[in-house]
Amino acid sequence: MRWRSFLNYGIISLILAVTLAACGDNTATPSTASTTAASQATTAAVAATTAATATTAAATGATTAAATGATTAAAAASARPVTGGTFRFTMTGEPDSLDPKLATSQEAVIVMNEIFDGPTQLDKDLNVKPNLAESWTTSPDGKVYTFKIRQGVKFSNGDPVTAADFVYSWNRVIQNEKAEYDFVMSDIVGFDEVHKLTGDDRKKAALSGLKALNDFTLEVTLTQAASDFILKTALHPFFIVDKKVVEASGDKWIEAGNLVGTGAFLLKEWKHNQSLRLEFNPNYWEGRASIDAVTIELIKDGATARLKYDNGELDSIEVPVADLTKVKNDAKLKTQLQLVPRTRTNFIGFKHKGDSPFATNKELRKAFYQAIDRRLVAEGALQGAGLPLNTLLVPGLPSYKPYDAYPFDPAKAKASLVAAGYDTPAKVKQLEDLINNYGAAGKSGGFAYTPERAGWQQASESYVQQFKQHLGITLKLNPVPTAKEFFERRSTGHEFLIYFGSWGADYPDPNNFYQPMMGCETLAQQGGEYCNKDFDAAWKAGAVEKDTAKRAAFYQTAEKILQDDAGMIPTYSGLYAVLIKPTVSNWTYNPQGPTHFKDAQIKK
Amino acid sequence: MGKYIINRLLLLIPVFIGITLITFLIAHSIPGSPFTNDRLPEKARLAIESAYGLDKPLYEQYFIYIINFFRGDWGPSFERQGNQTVTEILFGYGSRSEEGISFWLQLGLAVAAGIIITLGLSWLRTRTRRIDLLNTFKRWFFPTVLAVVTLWLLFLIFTLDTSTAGGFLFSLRLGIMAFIFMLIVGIPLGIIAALKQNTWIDYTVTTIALIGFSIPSFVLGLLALIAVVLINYATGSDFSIAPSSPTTLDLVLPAALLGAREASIIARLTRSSMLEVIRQDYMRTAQAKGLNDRAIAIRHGLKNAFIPILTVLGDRLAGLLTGSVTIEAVFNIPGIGRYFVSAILAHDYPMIIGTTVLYALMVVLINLLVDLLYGFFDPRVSYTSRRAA
Repeated sequence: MRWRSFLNYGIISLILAVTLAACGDNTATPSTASTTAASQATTAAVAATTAATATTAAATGATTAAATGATTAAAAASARPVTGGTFRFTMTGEPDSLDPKLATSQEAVIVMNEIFDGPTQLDKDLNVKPNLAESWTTSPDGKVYTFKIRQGVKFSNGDPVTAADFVYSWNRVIQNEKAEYDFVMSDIVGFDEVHKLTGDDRKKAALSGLKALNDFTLEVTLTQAASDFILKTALHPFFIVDKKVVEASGDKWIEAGNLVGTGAFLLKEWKHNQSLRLEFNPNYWEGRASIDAVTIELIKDGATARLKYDNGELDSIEVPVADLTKVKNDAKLKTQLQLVPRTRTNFIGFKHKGDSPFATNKELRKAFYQAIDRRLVAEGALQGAGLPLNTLLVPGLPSYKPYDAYPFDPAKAKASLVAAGYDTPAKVKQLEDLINNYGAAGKSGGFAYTPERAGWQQASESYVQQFKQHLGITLKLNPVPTAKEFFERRSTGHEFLIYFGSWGADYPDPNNFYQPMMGCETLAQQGGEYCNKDFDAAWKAGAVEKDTAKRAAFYQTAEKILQDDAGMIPTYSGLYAVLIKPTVSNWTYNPQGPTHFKDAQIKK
Repeated sequence: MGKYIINRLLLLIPVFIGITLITFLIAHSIPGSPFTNDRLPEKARLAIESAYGLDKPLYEQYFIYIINFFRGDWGPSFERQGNQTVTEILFGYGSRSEEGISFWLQLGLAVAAGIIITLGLSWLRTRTRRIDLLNTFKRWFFPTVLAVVTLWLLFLIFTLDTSTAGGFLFSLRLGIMAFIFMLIVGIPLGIIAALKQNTWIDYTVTTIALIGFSIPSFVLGLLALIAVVLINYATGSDFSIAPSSPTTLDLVLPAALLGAREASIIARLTRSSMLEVIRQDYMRTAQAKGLNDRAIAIRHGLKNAFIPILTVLGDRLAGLLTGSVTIEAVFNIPGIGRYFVSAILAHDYPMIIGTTVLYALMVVLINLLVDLLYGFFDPRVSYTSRRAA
């Protein structure tokens, strides 16, 4: 009897759960007001005074040097209202380190951007803004940069920031033999010499191009003019660390409690593999952040993060690809969704070397180019998790200009195939067999990709389907189990004639696209050893050009040459699909990731 | 029995060499390098590899690894670009040098307490009945010490500070709780089903066990999370789900779901094992003696049916303690389950070997304990080697 009633209850509750699921409201947000009115008032007062000092500092700066950046920064600071509150953010993984000389993961960069500063900073539109350097001048030949360092900036422990800290911090990076990101410093004189050193010599090495002229002037000499050097100084290897703290705490200096920076936030707590907590830095030179704190929960599973967002425990999440269509069709969630193109170019690459038929036959590359319907890939196969892309450079970056060399056209694709010399079914079959059976038997050949990365499998299937439909060429799908193996077999082995290529930029500048992807002399090139002298000349001219308009023109020429030559087939750019609670304002994603939390505001 | 334990412990040496060597070779034969990256030129990659000693011959790397392993250095985690070590990720980020000493001291105290308790119990038993003190002590010594040490370990595991803890602590907590759930749900259900064979109770239990066995635990996990969210909407409550730093209380739900599947396995096993025992002559004898039903079921039935259950329990315990990939992912528990998979994708050789060795150690040690416990449940089991006559 008791058993039966238990069963009845079970059935009733099950029915109840299903009905609730059917009419469930997905957007209820239990408000979590954490700050009391009293503390709000005091924090507002603190902000007012710091903003005032920032303005006076900027005023003196403006009289001594023509520093336009400083005044705009101060204006931004005084305009920043203090809303208080905690931003509840999430990342999928643990930062591999928070040491600017060691860190490589995107998670680490997101956190470091908040707790450290470099000489410059990228704003939310990816423009370079003065930061710890209030201004800089360039020598006429573009090789010598003189940074004027902002006076009165202090580390969070009170130590003042001087030019010597810059020299120390930057030399630290190149002294590390295991550094992966020190290449952003490769323009500086002495970089190559230091890289030849190993062991103890390396640990004592210094870049000869770095000189502290006095406490607040830093001179940096480059081997050649580099139009993107200033932008690179906003990246994490250029962040300034406190020598005293680093030397006192050894390897553990990056732990919460030890770590000291100049950023808008302090690292309050770092529970490894669990969560991080950042709190506003009251001594931040620009004036304190709008919000009190940022908590970062590390959640590996996208579905769990989504549920936590629905449950009102997170203020922003990246939407899992599988959920995207559902979110887009949900009346309430739709308004919280933001789609931001990201600096990732996905393309179809050819082997351009040796016996490859793609190496010399431009018409053949064109045929494949014209056979791809980008819209179908982005919206069909990827369910909207990508944006159709016709160029190597992604939209939203300086120098970007729309260009469509060979629009999707099945008839023209067939014609190009004939023009390429594949005019009979037998010859087409021969090509098909060559591609499918290329390289070591059973392992290589076909259309190569790795299913390890989200969307690559679906996109590759779509490409192969379209080649079959529009060209009559049935390629074998060749999934390489892990990304690491795929990269190695593509870049050093060249084991595939045609493959899925993808490039995520390290910094938002065209220079980080053309050269690493398709440059003649580039090691570990993405484009299958593509080499085109005209293309190289164009982007190289852009890499040293100081004038912004001329620079953009050079890169646009490079783009046109590459696309007209069908050197690769751009297909779609990556996308951040982000849900942000309506209580959050003045914060979003840009192509590089989340924007600075210091400006974020939270309504209660 | 002492000789038997020493023999078994000595057997650990070849087992350890076998496991590390095979894992090492398999890990290194995965195509691709841990530092392959779509932006790193080959020369730079080789430089990094040589900085980690990966350019040395394999046998040399293996010996270096083994030597470091015993010095407590399990190597850097390549997945974290060498910035964190395997021992940090698995066992914690704080320095535990002083704790280390007190750990052994506490272990010694726990063993001593176990011996004293056994003596007391044996004395109590021999006082009321006419049994030899030494024999009783011998028989009760191992399970009692084991119980005391286990209780002490449980206390330690559930009271340690988690803010600097590694993943293993969370996996241990989750695994232990799931194991307890499995014991207190699975075994009683199995016994009831066997005693009421072919009644509606039996059918209900076997059906539930079949369903529990068939539904993957992560599906149950997601459903449970959705249910919590819906309850929050419906009632206006604000239960949080899947916190990043779970407390013991937060682990109850995932442990129950993880244990549900294991409980189904144990319930089915207990039922079939009990059914076999129930038909034995000694059960009928016990009934004829006029013993009550519960005494028959537990003291005569379960004790005899327990040997096969014990074997499976040990096996499941080793699996549970080393983390569950799916439940930990769904409930966002920072355990070590995830590294079993991610280490392989990242070519993180030290982590692959570290997790494998940890799992193997668990299996070997728990199997040893299980083998020793057989003797307690079935006095016919002997640990002295017997030559075939």
